[in-house]
Amino acid sequence: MYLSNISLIYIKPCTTGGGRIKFRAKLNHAVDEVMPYLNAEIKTGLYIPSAKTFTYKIESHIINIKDDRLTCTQLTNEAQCYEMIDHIMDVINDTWERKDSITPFEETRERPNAIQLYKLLPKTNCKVCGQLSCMAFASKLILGTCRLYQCSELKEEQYASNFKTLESHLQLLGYETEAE
Amino acid sequence: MDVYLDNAATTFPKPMIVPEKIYDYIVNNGGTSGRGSYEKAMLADGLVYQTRKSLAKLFNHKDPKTVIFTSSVTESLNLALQGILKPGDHVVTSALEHNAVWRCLKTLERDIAITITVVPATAQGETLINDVAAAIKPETRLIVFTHASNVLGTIQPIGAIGQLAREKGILFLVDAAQSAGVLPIDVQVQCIDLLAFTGHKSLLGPMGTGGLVVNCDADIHPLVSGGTGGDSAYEYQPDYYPNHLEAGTMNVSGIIGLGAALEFLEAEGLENIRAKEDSLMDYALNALKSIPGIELYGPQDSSKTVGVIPFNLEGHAPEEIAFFLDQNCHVMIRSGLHCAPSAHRLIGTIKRGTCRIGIGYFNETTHIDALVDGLQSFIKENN
Repeated sequence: MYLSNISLIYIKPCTTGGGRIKFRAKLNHAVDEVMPYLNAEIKTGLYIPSAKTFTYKIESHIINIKDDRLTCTQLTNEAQCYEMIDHIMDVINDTWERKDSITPFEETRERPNAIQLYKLLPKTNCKVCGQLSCMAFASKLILGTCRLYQCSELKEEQYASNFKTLESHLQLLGYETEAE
Repeated sequence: MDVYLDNAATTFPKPMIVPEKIYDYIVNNGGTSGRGSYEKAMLADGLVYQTRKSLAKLFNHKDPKTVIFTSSVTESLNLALQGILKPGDHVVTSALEHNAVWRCLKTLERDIAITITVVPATAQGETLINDVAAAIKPETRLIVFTHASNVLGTIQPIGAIGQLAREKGILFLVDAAQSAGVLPIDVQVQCIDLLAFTGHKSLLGPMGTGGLVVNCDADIHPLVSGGTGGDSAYEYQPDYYPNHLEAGTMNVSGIIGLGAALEFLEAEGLENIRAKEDSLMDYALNALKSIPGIELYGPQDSSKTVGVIPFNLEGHAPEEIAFFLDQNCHVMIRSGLHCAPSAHRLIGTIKRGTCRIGIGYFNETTHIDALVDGLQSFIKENN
């Protein structure tokens, strides 16, 4: 078997709340070589060859794989974490087993851009995040040099839905959205 | 040589992998499930999940999250019956139920005014599907049946009852205490909505383990409320599974032991286990028939029963026989009513009780020989 074990190492509440949790897990080895095949199979996935990350969604869960680590969001309880780990391991092993019949796809599909993110920000240019404008903050979010938690206005109730969408976009890019 | 023939009460010995895995967990891990912020606790959680998954596979249940752990099949049955039944509900049950079902039903009858219909059975413990159908009323909420009688061993027509219940939109709860691990159980094919099982009988796991497979979307009120490890700020029991019906620190060591037992069962194969127990049953029935004055109860046919043989010796109290066998021959059998008085009413032994042997996977024909020799010695000394 290509991958023999994925072990759960960290569980914490999701930033979007709702009683949901996210987890980190470690794989028994890095799976960079399977990513182009996963990218070919999972059409909605986001593969970034330079960063060696592969991110995709299953329902509301965002799964990010990088080196020998993976994260997954929006889970209900530990049992669901383990169910997801089993599923991901099956997807990886199954894809690897069938790799001779899959044409690897090495390119990155279209990613969310700064304008899309900007539209979801408060657009007040309050500068609390340390950037001169919300547009500048959006650009830094795309680059991964700013994090979503730095926008204090977004934490207000009226932006809850926008926050969730922004978080989903950024997690799909493989970025953390909160403070370490 | 000690001869253990009380496997219907609890199986002994257990596969060595069971104590080994429990030992390894207690000595080398020790973390609690569902409360961990460190890798070892999450590993423990993973092992608990693997056991849920193995059970789901064994019973052909789709969702491991709705395999609920309890401390015993009694707790599982109480959880299902107390958690579902409401005042005015009608319940159909068999004439063979263990007190784990019967006392629970009688208590609900007294306390919240449910009504109960008992389906008649033959003296061999056989139930006809038409009698089950005839017992159903418009207000019937649930049918609860033992899969196999713990007194007579008789296997009940679970698949046919499941189908009937499904057609009528009635919940079907099965007590698999005597069958899980030895008879095939398929909650989907047999239309079982709720399956209550124990870990320490034919599943070959440790005591203190049991569970309820929830194969329906019935609203089940939790039997206990308390910590689940997550959503702690919420003031009630969460509505998602398994946490909805599990509170408090879990029996992780026991569940890991049960997981190990399930590995053993899968490797041995259920059909091989059943075949060995059937051949021992045939051997035992044949040998027991040669004992003068023996009264055998139940179908006396291994294809119709699990590995249970109830008997009496004419003119002797069952407890005297069991005592003699234990003290003089090191043969352990059960005597009494086996917590199931209604089955004894069927065979006319409600006052006297019976002796009962419970055959397990680790028994051999030499054990049956020791029993037969012991019974012959008893007769020689007491007649």
